[in-house]
Amino acid sequence: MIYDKQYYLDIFKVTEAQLDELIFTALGAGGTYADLFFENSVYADLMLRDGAVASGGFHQDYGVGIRTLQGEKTGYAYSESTAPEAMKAAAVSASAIGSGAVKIPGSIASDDGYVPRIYKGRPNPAADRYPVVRNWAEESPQDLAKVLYSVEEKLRAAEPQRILKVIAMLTWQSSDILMYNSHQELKYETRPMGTLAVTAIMSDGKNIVNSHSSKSFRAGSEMLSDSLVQDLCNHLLHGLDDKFKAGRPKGGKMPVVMGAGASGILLHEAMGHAFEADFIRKGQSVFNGMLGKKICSEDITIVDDGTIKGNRGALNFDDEGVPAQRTVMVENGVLTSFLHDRISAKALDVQPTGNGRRESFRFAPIPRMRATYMESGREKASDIIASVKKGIYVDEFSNGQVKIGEGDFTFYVKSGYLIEDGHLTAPIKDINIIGNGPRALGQIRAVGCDSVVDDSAWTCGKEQSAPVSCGIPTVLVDGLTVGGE
Amino acid sequence: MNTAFITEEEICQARAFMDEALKAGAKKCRVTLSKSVLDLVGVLDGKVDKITHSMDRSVTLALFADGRYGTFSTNRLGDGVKEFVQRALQTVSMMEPDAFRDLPSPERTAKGADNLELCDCASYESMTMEKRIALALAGCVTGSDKSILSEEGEYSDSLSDTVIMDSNGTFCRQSECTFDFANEITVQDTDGGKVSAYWWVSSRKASGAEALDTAAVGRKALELALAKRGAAACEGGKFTAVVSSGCASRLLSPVIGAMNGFSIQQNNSFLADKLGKKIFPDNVTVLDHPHDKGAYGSRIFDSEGVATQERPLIEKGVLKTWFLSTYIAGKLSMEPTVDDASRPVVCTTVDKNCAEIAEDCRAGFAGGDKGTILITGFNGGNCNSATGDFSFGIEGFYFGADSARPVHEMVITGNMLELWSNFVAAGNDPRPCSPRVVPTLVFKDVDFS
Repeated sequence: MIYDKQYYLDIFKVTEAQLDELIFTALGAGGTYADLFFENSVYADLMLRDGAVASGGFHQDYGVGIRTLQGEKTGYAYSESTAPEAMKAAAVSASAIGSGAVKIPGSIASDDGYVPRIYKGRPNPAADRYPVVRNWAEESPQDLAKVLYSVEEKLRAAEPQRILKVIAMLTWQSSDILMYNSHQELKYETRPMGTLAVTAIMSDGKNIVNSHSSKSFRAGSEMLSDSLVQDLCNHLLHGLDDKFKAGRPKGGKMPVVMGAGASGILLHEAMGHAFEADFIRKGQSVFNGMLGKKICSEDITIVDDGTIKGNRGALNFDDEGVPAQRTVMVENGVLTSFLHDRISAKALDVQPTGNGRRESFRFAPIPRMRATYMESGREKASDIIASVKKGIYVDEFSNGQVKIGEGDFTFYVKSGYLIEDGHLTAPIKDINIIGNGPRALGQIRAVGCDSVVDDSAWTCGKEQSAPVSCGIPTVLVDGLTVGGE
Repeated sequence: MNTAFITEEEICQARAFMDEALKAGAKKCRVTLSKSVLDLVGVLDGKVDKITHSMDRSVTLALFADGRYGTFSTNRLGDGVKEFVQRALQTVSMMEPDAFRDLPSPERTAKGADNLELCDCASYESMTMEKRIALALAGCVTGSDKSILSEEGEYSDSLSDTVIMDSNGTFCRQSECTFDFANEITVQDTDGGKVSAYWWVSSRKASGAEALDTAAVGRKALELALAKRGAAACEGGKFTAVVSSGCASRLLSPVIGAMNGFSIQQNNSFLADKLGKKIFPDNVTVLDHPHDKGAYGSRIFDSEGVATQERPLIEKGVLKTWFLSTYIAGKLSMEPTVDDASRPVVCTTVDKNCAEIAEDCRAGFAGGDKGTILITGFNGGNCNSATGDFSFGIEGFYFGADSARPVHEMVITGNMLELWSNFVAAGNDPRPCSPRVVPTLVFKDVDFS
């Protein structure tokens, strides 16, 4: 949502002249660049537990983060007050990083000749990627609670015997953001986020299964449709009989077929993080020195996209005021771009890619993913599965992790199936898969024609938490290590 | 007293939220006032890369009105208290009634300020930005080994202060400061790739014998990174696992999590029917020591203001307690305890450290048929809270009959109850800077893939 400029200036009780004064103060000790990030966020939640929506609340967070750069060095401070003296104190603290830097008079170029691209344009409501039809703040908690009750009703109607407990949670957020910097770029917007999540504990008398499902969008409360609730419940109950029967496979190295959609966590962990250019700047990534080189099959194109309307990872601007974009990281097998904030872009002498993100005004921005996905290939999913003599098919995941230097990644499989002679056979669950990013990329043998961006509530935890999404078509990866008995 | 600490004015501001809530119709109210300040110096390849200064304050209200409940927070202490409380109460009025929501009884809550020696104000106030930068740079080892590709260190110190007050008259307060340094070093692997390692220390003191030795952290991170060069996976099977004290808490956390009352009440815990039962061998004892002076994890009250107590969690293999808040205890018709573990301590069974235990394993102590794997780090994974089934990525070292080599890209898989049933020994080397006091652990018959 984008309101007019004065709406934001009023919320933060500042004038444009004050913004300039703060930037002047932040650069006072010799910094080469400074920016301000004002935030007014309200988070709210409602929880259904033991059959009743009996707890909920809201949480306000307000303040301004002030950053000074001297070259690649960062000074950062923030204030929870926008009173002039409090903001000035934060600007002085941030300015401490600057010492004797020389700026070429009359130019935005830095002393090493880097000329940043300037984004002067004002936010355009017509180009908003998350317009709000119904504002969360105007909904009554009682009406919102009805959605949670309907989730439980649908689940219990579908599974009257096996469901023991249902915990359903609705969370929503609205963040007013105002950004200004020493290039005199002024950006402002209001970022919504709504998440509907449910966990069910189920028993067949012998075994207990806990199953979780979530849907999350940058949208107003209009996202809470009957079809969304039905999708959520269908996803939670999908393959339930098999979950009760699931066991662990025999562990070892084997081919793994990743189901379309949520398997995109493979991209996020195995490749995406190592493409984040702060790791490149610091010489820590396994992909250092590989830009422009072929790193995998030409069937593979990998994108990080901030432009998907209403997507959890969508942005109009990143948290440095850089317009969000669709960044192709791997095109037809060739590594074409890393993911940049302003610091890494300058260090590598390129322009930022709109990936400078932060958890809140309390944090300096760093390169982060948005919606990361692999584009569709040519194979049918059924043909890919049929091509595997012995391996596993995985379709539901929880957390993942990567070691940036080595490229070793893991992700946890909540459910899947054995593949035997080209057919899905015994259900499996609760195993960890481990591999190496560059090697796994090189070991992708088939790419399906069915790419899907998953709309679950994925949150990345690199230093700070950030909402993201991920997607992938059905792919076959040879030789991943599967945990098992 | 440092100006970052909660002031009387801020306490009055927080109390104003409670007074306003009670005046506007809340039957009971709890206010948690938190304040903290943190300074950080980041260094990259031996040079300062980042300096940050941050200070936070927030008030959290738990409101009980007409048998209904809600929680609300704001970082705008002196701003619009009346409007905030009215909106909060309006939200509470729309919740379903919940008979089990209540404040803890006054006799269970902590009183006054802590005396746990968690905050050395003199140390904290002696810090300057110059000293912080000097400590951060002293931890750098860039240039000391030609295989170093990247070094990223981070020094920080922080001061935090928490006050809990409620409408039953509870007033308790705890202050804490800490000085921390961490270093991550990436070196060239033997095959031209990269290997990284991370080490950290924390201290309550900025000077004297207990002060941070940042230089030692840098050396240790480098030593760990160099030792990992040439790692490869080894053939899977059942091995004896020695889990170093640097990462062993990862295997205690799912057990502590399964003792959480919320998970138990929701049938989502593998310890749901195990209270008072023998779940592990006789040599497994885990105690909660929340009152160890100056120690990490120590606290005199939990999130409700309930006074913490020294108590056994697992004694000679028997599960002795669950963590039951006032609310969950009411739902389960049980006596409340505290909301969570504070400083769980796995008791030592063998007076040896990780290196000595590993050496014993090399010589045959507790060795399985296929040898021993020393786990020095975990990489991802999860534990199913309902069943205890787990699978974690690991790295470390394989010890065979006459060889030792680094391993990575391996996975351990099993069930928490079975894993701890195969517990062999706990060493004497828990890390003093960790709130979970877990020494090197030894388990037999662990499945590695």
